[in-house]
Parts: sequence; structure tokens; C-alpha cells
Amino acid sequence: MKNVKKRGGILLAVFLLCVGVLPGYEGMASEELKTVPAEGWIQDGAGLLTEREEEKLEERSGELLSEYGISVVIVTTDRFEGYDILDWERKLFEEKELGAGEDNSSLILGISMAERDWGITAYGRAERIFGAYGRETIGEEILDDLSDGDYYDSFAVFLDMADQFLADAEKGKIYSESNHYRKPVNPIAAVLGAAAASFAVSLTVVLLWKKGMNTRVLQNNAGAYLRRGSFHLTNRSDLFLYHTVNRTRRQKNESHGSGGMHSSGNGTKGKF
Amino acid sequence: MDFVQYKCPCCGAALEFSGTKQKLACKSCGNAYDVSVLQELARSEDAPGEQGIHWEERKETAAAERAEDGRYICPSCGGEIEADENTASTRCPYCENVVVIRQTVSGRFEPDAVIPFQVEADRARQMLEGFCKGKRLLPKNFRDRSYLKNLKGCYVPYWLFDCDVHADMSFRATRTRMWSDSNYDYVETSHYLVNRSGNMQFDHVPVDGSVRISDETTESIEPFDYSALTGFKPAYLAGYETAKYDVEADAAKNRADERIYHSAEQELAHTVIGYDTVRASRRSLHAGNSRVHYVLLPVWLFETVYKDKTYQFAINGQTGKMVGELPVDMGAFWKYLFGFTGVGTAVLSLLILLIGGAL
Repeated sequence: MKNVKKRGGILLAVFLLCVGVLPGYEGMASEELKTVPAEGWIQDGAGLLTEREEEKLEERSGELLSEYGISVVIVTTDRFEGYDILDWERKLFEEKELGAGEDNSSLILGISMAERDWGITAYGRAERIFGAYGRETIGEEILDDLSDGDYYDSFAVFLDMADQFLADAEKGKIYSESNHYRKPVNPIAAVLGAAAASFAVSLTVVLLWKKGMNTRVLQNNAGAYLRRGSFHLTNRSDLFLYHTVNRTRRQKNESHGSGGMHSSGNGTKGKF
Repeated sequence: MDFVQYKCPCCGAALEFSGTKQKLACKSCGNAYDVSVLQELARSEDAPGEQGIHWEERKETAAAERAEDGRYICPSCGGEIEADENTASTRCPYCENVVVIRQTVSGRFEPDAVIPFQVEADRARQMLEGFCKGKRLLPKNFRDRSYLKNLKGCYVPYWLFDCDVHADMSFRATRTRMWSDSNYDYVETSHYLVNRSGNMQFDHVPVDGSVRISDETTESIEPFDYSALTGFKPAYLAGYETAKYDVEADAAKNRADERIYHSAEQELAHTVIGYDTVRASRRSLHAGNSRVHYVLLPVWLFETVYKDKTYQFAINGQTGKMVGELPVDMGAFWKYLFGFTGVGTAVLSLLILLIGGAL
């Protein structure tokens, strides 16, 4: 009887544990999901993306949140009216509660079309993972596409790099000036590149071999048979005819790309 | 038709001209004879009924008449010699006797001069073998040394052209000057009309007088050292194949003109200096006081037909300069191309993936 009571107690304890703990996990997930703002993680106020592109990026951002517990946000606007882009992002982060998890972790990429400003800010745990080096590295990678107007490609690269940084951070590898980031190698691209390079080198080698099979060359001149000292100039005149002047406006040195990139606090900004 | 044979005064074997000794040499007893000595000997012994004629000139007999198929009969052994109307010297395939057909090197076909061979057959074979060595694209049947038997010493008929040239040319030339201010970059181009006239003389511009040998081959082995030109003697042809010219001087002159005019233009253009761009706008070239010489020049020639195409390989028989075209085995070409590509792709891919951390 005593044993029956004991077993019942254990089962009750297991049941209570299950009832108590599982809701705990669900509650944590719900807590994270609760942080999703009404506009989603991709807030394309400037209308740079198609609906389909926005959905794909939203889905990708959601995956990052689920996997790493950090929100990766992209915000675009036509203009932010006098703000510094980093201050604007910080304001958005607080007002829209974009942080995820207990430490409000978030990585935000902001774009303002009127000023052609871009900025990346990191919060909570992300601030440590995406330090000044990391943010500038990501900035360099996305800048060309941003400048070319390939916004979807630029944002996709941003999410991919965020994924890589977060995955490596989980393995204890955080990129910094002393631990540089290296682009992951695409195996298919590596093999195709190696095949192209090998073909080019091989073709050069066999064509050189083939060329070496024929050393005959027609002689186009008879310089070797010019009698030494026989050449005499009988007339020599150099007449000036006219001038032409071409004028081209000098290019002003404008900051472009990583040259115009500045980092301060938890943010990095630049022009595109 | 006259056949001329040179026989050793010592043993009676056929004599051949030796490039190294610059004498007629006997391969049988090893003696060597200066051409002038043999001629003197022949003159002194050229009496009717006298035996042991060493400088032998025989009138063609009835048996030596040219056969319908274009062959000649060897005056020594009676065998058929492969020769045509252009052949000046050759070798009997049966008795190995060297034969000079006087008709094709006399009269209007008699060369003004000749440069005797200085590169011997053995050295020429070594050079050809060395050239073929390591050539991975050479067809398999060239890998053994049997192809070396096709190497033949030939006296190639050449026309040498001399002329005085007057060249008159105009050029359009430019000089540029560049400067900048705070807003603009400036490029000022000054245009000039440049006139040049000049006289020059060309000596012994060679053009081969044989249809059989391509201009590409004969021009590639230039230059010959004309200081070695010597008066023609049939004895120099002994042991070598010789054909009389079958391209007339008038036809060969066009090629000489091309080369001479091109050189004359270059000479004048070299005097236009101090400009950034120079372009010839007018040219007027006149050649006068032209002279032409017919000479025989020594060439080691290798000719082969591979897949219906004739390939020629030549060595300057005087200077040893070697040029040629050898057939290419396209099967080997593709095999090496794709083989190297495959191995290179594997190794490079592995390296990239290892360095990139993907493996």
C-alpha cells in the first residue's frame, strides 16, 4: 500500500513536472514569438521589395529567430526626417520592441532612400557577436548590391551573413579584427572555378606545344639585306598642321563603399 | 644528256662532297680530294683509252635514255634512277652512286654561285631527332627513328635580287600635351604632316626558285652567309639532291619586291621620331638598277605527308638554323587537354575546399 502510494507520488511528480515544464518551453517560444512586430521582421516602408521577395526574407528571418533566438530585422524608409540613421534604428528598436529573448537581442539593417544612408545596429547578445568589425564586414558585402539597386540580393546576403556569424558564434567563434571572417566556399562554384582555371591553363599548355611544332615564319622584310651605310635621307620635313583640345570635367572624389563607413557604439553606417 | 660521276682515284668508289672537310670524300677508303685537284687530275688524264678516269664524264648511252615513266638509267649499274626534268643531282637507289645530270646545271640553268654544305648529315639527323624529342603531340609513328631516313641534303635553287630603292613617304603624326585645372582635364593634340625621302641599296634578297619548297620554309632558315658563295662546280652537288629552278626570276621578283618595299618603308618610318602616334599616309617606292643571280643554297630537308597534308622541316645547310613544321596528333592534343583539365580540376578543387574550410 505504501509502495502504491509511493508510485502514485512519483507518477504525480512526473505528471506535474511535465505539466509544469512543457508549458515552460512553450511559454518561452511564445515569449519569443510575441516579440514579432505587427509589420514583421522585414519592414519595407520604401517599397523596395516585391511581395514574394518580402515573404521569402520574412521566412528566412523567422528561421534565424527560431534557431538563434535573435531577431534579424530589415527596415527601409523613404526618409527619416533629420535623424541619424543609427539613432533612428535605436528609436525603432525601442518603440517597436524589436529585441528577442530575455536580453532583447537584435540585429537591424536600416535603409533610407532619400539620404541613401544604410546602418546596422546590434543589441543584447547580438552586440557581442556583431561588433564593429562584423558590422563593417557585412556592410562591405551588401554595399555593391545596394548601390546597384539590387535590394533583394543585398538583404539576402545580409541574412545569410547574419546566419553565418550566429552559427559560428554558437561554436565559440566570434569574428573580430583578430579573427577575420572568411566567405564560405560554395563547393559547386569551387569545382566549376577549378575546372575553368584548369581548362584555361591546360589549353595554354597544349596550344604552346602545338605552336612549337611549327617554327616556320614568313619574313616580311628584307632588312637583313640592306647594304650597310647605303641608307641616306634626301628629304626631311615636319610641318605643323593644327591643334585640337579636348576638355573633360574632373571626377569629384566622393566617398563610396567601405571608405564612407563609420562605426560608433553598437552601430555602423554609411552611404550607398 | 650528260651524267657526271665522281670516283675515288684510289679505290674507284663514288665520291661525295663533305661539308666538314669541304672536299670530295671517299666513304670506302677514307681519302678526301680537293675539287680543284680532281679537276686538274681529270684534265691531265683525259686521254683516249687511258684507264682510271677519276673525273669521269660520259655521254649518255642509248640505255640511259629517259624512260617514259620519267626515270633515268644509272650509268654505273644500269638501275633506274628516280628523277624528273628538274633533277640536277641525285643518288642511284641500287648502287648508291651519286649522279649529277649536267644538262640541268648547264647553259641557262647553270648557277652563278653555290654555297657548299657545311652541316654534315649526322649532325642534321641529330638536330631533327632533337627537335622531335619531347614533342608529346607528335604522331606515334614518328616516335621511332625511322623517319630520319627521309632527311635529305638538297641544294635549293634561289634567286638573289639586288636593287637600289628610292622611297618617298608622308606620315600623319601627333603629339599630345596634358594638363588640369581644378575643374577640367585638358588634352591638346598637335597634328603634323611629316615627309621623308631616302635612297638605299639591297643586296642578295633571296627568293627560292622551287615550287616544291614553300616560301615559309625557305625564308625561315635565312639568313645565309653570302661570304661563302663560291663559283659553281658540279662536284659540290655530289651526294646531295639538287633540282633546277622551276619558278622563273620574273615570278620570284614579286616576293622580293614585297620584302624590299616593306623594309624601305620601315627605314623611313624609323626616322620619324618624337611623336606619340605615327601613321603612313602616302608611299611611293621605286626600285632601279636591279640585278638577279641564280644560286644553289644548301638545305637539309625533311618532308612527310600526314593525313593528306605535306609537312616540311628544314635545316640551313650552312648555318645550322633549324625550322620546320611537324604533324600534330589531334588525338593526343585532346587527350592531354582533357587529362590535364581533369587532374587540375581535382587538385585545385581539393585545395580550394581545404583552404576555404569546406572540407
